[in-house]
Amino acid sequence: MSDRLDVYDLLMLARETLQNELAPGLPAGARFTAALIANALAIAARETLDHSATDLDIADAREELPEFNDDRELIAAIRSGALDERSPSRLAALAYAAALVRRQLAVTNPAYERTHDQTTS
Amino acid sequence: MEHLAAFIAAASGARNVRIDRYERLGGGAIQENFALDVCIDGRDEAFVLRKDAPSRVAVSRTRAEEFALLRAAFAAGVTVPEPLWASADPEIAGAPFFIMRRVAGTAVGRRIVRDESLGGDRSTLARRLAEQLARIHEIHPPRTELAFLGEPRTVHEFVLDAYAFLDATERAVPALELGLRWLDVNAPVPEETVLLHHDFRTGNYMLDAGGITAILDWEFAGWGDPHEDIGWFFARSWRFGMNDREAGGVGSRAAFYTAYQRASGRHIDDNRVRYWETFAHARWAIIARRQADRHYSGAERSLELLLIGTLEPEADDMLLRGIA
Repeated sequence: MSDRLDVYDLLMLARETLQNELAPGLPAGARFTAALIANALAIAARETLDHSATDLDIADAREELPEFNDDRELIAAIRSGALDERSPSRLAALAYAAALVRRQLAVTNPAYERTHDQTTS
Repeated sequence: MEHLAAFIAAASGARNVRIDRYERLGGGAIQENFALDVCIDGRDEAFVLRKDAPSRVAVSRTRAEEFALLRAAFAAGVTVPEPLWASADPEIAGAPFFIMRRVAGTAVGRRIVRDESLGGDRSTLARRLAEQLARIHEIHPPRTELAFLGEPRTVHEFVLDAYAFLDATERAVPALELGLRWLDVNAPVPEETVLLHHDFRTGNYMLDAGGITAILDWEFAGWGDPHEDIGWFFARSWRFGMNDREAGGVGSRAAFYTAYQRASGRHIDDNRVRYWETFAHARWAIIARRQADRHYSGAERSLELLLIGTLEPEADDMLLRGIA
């Protein structure tokens, strides 16, 4: 048990209160603003969740690119063509980039990945 | 209002002009639109006046240029609000502006892809949109009245601009970098240059029960490869959740291709469209990032701009899928 404030619950409750009690009575322009605020609260709430597994994925993927001391070097290599299609490190770079994006999506839009596989393209 | 009434009288050759309504419409972070109801020599007219918003973004066209684009599109048979008069005189409406006829309809993407009472059945709508795009692409350079469009922008120029922006904001985004590099290396050699709308997508056309009432938002138009517009239209970002309908969330890829090819006489190279779809994700990622940067840079403190920035990871993901 922890005595700490559950920030996720706090923010999601603030969001529900905004959506259920405040937004319905607002004129259209203000309802749009309320929707923006509700979205911001959900993003902030999700950031407080445990992302350690995703962060570990990022660290693991990054370890597959030991030749680059930092991301600045990695990006310089990408721009120079050193990670173009025939490069042996290309797959590792793609995996690292994807892990970083997944970490962001977990906060900005967790529904996105669930819907992606519906695409038939 | 007196200046505006006098302007309309002079421009239309009317004796009596009375302004009955001048009211700001929602939307438009870059431009402001006003509903303008006018009685001209006893005849009631419904117009829209479009003028610069106080915070103008550098990439945006001037109202005079947008007016010229609308005129060219109108003359080519594209469904746009009829452009009527323009003026750069700030005394008349507070900023340079133009006036066009007001048309009815909704442009809200989420509604358009779900509400079949709008625009008739979906495959018809996809065909009609393809025909609209084909008409836009009938406009070829050179056109003296569109000289402000300059030269087509190459992919390489786009990539260099993106690098400069990313470096200036000191952001390291491996997904975007891998995508930009791939786009630079794999850019197709341009074959034909036509007028591109450059933001032709669900969300930027208006519908009513009868069909398309207007193709909107011409401010990004420029010369380029017609496949670029088609790829942008197909990008997943503009399907508003209806992901199995690849053509803007409303129709099938095949229906759109067939209708476009029939209307334009041009063969669509599917590989080229797929390239420009991948490009679209990079372009949208950069746009989202630039919008958010307007907030982060302190230029314009805005929750809406900041939240647009949170859409970037989706574009980054689609970009990675496109190059993998």
